[in-house]
Amino acid sequence: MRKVFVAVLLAILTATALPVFAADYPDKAIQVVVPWKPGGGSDISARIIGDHMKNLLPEPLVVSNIDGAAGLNGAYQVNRARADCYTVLWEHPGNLAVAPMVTKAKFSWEDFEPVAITAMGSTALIVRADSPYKTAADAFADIKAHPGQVRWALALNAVSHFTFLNISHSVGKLNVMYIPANGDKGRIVSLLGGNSDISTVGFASVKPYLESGDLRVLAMVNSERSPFAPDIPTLKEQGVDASYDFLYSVFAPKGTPQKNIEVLTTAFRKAVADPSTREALKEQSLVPYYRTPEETRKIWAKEAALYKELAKENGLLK
Amino acid sequence: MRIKTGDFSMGLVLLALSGVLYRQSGEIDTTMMYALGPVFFPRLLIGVLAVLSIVLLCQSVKFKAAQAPGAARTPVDGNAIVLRWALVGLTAVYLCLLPLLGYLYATIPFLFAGMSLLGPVRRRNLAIYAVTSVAITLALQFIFATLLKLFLP
Amino acid sequence: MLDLSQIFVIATPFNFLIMLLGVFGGLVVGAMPGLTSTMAVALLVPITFGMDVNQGLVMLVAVYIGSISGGLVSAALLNIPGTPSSVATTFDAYPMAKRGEAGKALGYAVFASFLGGLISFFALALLAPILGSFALKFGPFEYFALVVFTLSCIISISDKSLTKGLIAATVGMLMAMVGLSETDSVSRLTFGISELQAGFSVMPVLIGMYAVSQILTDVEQIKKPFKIIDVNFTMREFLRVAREFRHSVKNVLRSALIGIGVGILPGIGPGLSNIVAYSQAKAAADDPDSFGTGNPEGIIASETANNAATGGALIPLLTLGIPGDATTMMMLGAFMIHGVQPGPLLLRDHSELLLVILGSYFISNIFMMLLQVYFIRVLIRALMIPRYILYPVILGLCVIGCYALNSSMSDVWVFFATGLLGYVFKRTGFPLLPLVLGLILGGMAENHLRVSIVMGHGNLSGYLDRPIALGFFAAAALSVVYALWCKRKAARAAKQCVLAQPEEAL
Repeated sequence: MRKVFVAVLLAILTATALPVFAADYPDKAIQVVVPWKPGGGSDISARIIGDHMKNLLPEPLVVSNIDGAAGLNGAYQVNRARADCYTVLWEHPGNLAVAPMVTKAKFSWEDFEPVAITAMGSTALIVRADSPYKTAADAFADIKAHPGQVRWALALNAVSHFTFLNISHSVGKLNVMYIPANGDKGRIVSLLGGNSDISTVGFASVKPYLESGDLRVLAMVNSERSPFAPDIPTLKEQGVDASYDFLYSVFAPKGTPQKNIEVLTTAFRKAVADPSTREALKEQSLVPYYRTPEETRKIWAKEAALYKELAKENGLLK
Repeated sequence: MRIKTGDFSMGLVLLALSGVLYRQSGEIDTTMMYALGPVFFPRLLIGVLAVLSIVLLCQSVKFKAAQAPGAARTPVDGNAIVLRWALVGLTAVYLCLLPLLGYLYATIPFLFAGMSLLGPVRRRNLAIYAVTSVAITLALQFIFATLLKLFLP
Repeated sequence: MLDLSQIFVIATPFNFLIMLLGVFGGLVVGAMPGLTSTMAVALLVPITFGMDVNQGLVMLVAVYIGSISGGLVSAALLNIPGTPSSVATTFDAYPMAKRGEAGKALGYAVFASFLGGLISFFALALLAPILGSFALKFGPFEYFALVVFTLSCIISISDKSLTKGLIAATVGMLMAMVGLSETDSVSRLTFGISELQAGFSVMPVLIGMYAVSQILTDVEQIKKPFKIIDVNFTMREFLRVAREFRHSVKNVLRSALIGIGVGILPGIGPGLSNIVAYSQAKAAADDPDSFGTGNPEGIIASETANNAATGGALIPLLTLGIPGDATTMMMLGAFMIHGVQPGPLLLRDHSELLLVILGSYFISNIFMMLLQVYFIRVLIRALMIPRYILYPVILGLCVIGCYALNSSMSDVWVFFATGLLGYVFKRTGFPLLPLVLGLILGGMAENHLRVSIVMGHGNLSGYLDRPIALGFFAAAALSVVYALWCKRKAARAAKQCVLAQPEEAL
């Protein structure tokens, strides 16, 4: 009796301990690591697209939020995860290209395999409704006239900082007072509370405050006009050659088999093309925007090179 | 002269800690300077800690016996000390094994061992421990993994 | 203005059922040591996906109320606060429970929670827009002053040794310095360990400090069962406890106001309200020495404040779209997934949703109280489980809870290491609370100090024209002076006592 028991136990142990052979990817849930707190743009985009992939893959995508350390915490987890495409990272280029660089982390975005870009968010240059600035040019002229006086809310060493540096680079050395404020909400609060004068935030987060008349958009920071704000000009149209497109991208750990990436990226492509997904994304002011792994890599390489240059130019990097 | 050994050694440890942290604070990257810089506040706290631990050292040495000596000192229970550190060791082993064996195979033995370590070891009790360990582990697994879709180690 | 008479649109049987389930689920998760209200909301959000907007909101609010209230259970019975919001509850509820009056301790806590919830309901319903704009008045200057004020509470709370209390707070603040700095994302004091980049999260430290140290301390008496006098805690006993509250009207009102005020401020939330309220109740009491030995006033202050803070935290969420704490942040996400964008437009365009939230807030509070009264009896029975079975299970639960927070083993190791640290602290007479407080406030203190200096063009002059900030500084100074004066008086009295009866002292 006891022998039988032990034998059964051993059988169960070996059966579960050994990897299952020859099963098609995916045969278990795929963990999508969002390196931010729930409720933000990254989280919502991941959840919407993940939810709409239910019918495209045999197994679900499960979003888990691993936040902390400017998004590096989650990135580090995926970096160390088994390279099998069961743990993927949901990131945007500003962050994964910038954060490891300025914090001197032991990995960079190149230590991941691109899977896809899925959606694009818009960024707006905003001021309080009672601000004297009517256009972006007004703001830049005023900043130049009063060096170090105008308060710009941004997250130091993060995307919004580099968006500012990029703008500053094209307009020609803007000297502002940095007011550190993390996240879209933090910057909106800072503006509303009168603790800063100007900032860049995600368009989706700021939209209700525009409708309520508390805040005003001077320009969009995207490379093209957003379909959600067709009447607002971009900075580029106003002669400032600076843009930032918020590209929600998916990354797998380095060394993941191409076969698995192929399966996942195809599913993303189908999901993003699906009308119901597009509708759901539209509600959150996100543009469906699919790119293949190769295109993703190219876009990121270009962005990362820009940030490196900006960091060097501004003494953030030796 | 009497020395409160507990406070005295804590004072020393904390003083050493502030030394180590001070050295470590020299490693902070100050390429970008904003306001007081990233080093100012930690150094301030390290300084405060050093001063406070010196105060603690001084306080732990009493030159007059102001307090009643030997008042209500609980006898040291050797058994409890062994038990306590065995429990700490067991938990450490559990944490090491958790990522290796996975949640299920690490937790059941841990709970069982923990219960048998702390409780009376009798045949009837052991059976209770075994059943509760398995039941609780499975229940948690069900709640976390199945209902709530969280990933377990 | 809202038409409050419409509030009972939500009174459908199905909604009641959802609320009951939500409050119950929240209570269970909140009551388990190691699991937080944030997690309760996160865990139950997916369940709301299948519901329509109204039902989803009802459920979320119910879970929020339930889980914040559930935290009092493990605080009172096991001396392990499940969330930072019930830390101060342990001070008096646990000594009371240790005396065998577990039921009574829970009774006080539950009724205080209910009153706190009720008062903040009225604040939420009547004053939300006004109070919401108050949150915006807080800039870096005000936050830094508030942090200083909260830290000054440590002095009045740390009874035995002021030095040790301050050391613990400093260690806590130093722990907050580890990892990327809040202001400028610079990596600090990590000793080259990648896992430390993220710094120490509050939850694993809190749970480790309290749970591990408590379990290790109790090992000595592990085979003794808990002492329980009031095994049969009935509705009648509960009403008797509730009647006792007529002596504590001032305390309840003060604590509720503190709770609402602190709750409104984004980033601070219920976690601090209970500590501030406790220290103020102690300062105002005729018998401050009895605090910490099982004085019901301490329980009342802490629990009234943390539940009042739930309503407070909802105010900026609903009126400005700004979450007050981690849990409301989670709710913000859940609201958005249901297509509701909290913010300035909610009141104008969707006042019916606000009514749904208010209504479910009110009813959930009532359900919370009723469920808890019956819960208490079950819980006291649970205490009859021998500790040698209970404690390994609690340890396992804490480990899984810490892991699930961020799906990472490093949090679990932080839990374990700080647990040992907490035990060492406890043995050498260092208080734990200042450390936790320092950890919560350290980053905030530094960040706001630095920003305020930049805004003051390089010096502290910016504070001079900030009346709110100056007020907090003054209050902090006053409370320090008052606390030191009280201690002096007590020390002198003790000395005289020793001198008068030298033989007895020996």
